[in-house]
Amino acid sequence: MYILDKECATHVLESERFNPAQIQHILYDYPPLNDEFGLAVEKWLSGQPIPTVEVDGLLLTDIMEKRHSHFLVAIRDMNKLLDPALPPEKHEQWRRILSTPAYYE
Amino acid sequence: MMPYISGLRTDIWAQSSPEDRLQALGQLENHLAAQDGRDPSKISGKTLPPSTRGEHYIDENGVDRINLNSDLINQSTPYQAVETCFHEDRHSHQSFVVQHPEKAENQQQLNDWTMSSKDGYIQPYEYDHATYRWQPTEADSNKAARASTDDLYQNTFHDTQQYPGYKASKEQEVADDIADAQDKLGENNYEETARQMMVDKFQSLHPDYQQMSSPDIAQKTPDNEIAPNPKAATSPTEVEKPENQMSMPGATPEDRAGIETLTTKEPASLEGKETVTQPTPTLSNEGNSRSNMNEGKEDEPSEVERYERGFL
Repeated sequence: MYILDKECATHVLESERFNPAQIQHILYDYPPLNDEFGLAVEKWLSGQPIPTVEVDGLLLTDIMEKRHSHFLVAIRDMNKLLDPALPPEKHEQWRRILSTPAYYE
Repeated sequence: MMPYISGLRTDIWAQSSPEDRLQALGQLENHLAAQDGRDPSKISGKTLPPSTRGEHYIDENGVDRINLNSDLINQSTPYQAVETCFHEDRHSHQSFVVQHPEKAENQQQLNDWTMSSKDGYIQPYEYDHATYRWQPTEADSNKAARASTDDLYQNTFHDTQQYPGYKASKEQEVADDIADAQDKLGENNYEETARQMMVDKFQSLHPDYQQMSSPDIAQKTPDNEIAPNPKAATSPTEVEKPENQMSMPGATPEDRAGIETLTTKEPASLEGKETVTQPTPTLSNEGNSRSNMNEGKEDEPSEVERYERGFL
């Protein structure tokens, strides 16, 4: 499992001009990640281009765009798809959520 | 009881021009506004970003306006355009209630909508979709619009052909929104968490106001201003912005430990913002208006910048 370095992540988020409340919201209760995502997170932390990440046919960049999500939020959402404890019907729902655009009204 | 506006019927809509469709939606808005005893909002079709179904705002002349995404007007079925019209009209209703407190259903509703209209409103890109979707004004608009659309197409038009399919898709959308919110905001209290984040935002920007999270302590002045906290200085108008805004509901001290160092730092995002000028405490006419979405925009990254930084 990959454990996010929250202090390091905080520095990056600060540099992205997120305010403390937003940073806390993103990092609060951030779960251990599947190793598959560790490399992508490490690259993001070091300011390098984010590599292509795909799970269940869903691309990280598509999720970020459709859900208007920050990289760390999208990674966390994708990580849930790899949770073996997630029941099949919940997995299907979660996959649908991540592939559905979020609308504003 | 919903009025029988034939132009909103599925079969009539399919044969109508965009102008006729907008006219029918305008008739609906006239009816809804009359129920409130307010002037109807001006409804227009507009090219909006694909992820924006509609918007409500009050223009520089004080005219309440609703823009619906032209893509919805051009769809062959009326359902989403009508539901978005109901949604935006509910925002008009919320603004009206804030101006006419006696119309509120209860004190908490009035408090929530008032705080939302005075800078508490959480913009779509501020946190995540769940927080935006379940803050009080948006949750209320979504719920009202869902019920009204059902009422119109089931009870007034008796549409048993195409409407059931649309309704099923909307119910799935709501179920998915709840599942997303439970994951991001809390299994059993996602709506209250989103509400508290709105309250926190309001209070961080208006620290001299009495806390309004509880109906018991909320007070209103006769001219519908939020009562300032008598313990707070009423002058001067410049106050220090709270340094610590990390009040994520439900967070335990242990949970916070990993990021508590934030409070002692001076993040780049707060440079130049350590003090804020306290606005004169009069109630704005602008509810959940996109007209105030750009306030302070010079400090906010553009969408392109957010994309480049990993925040789409």
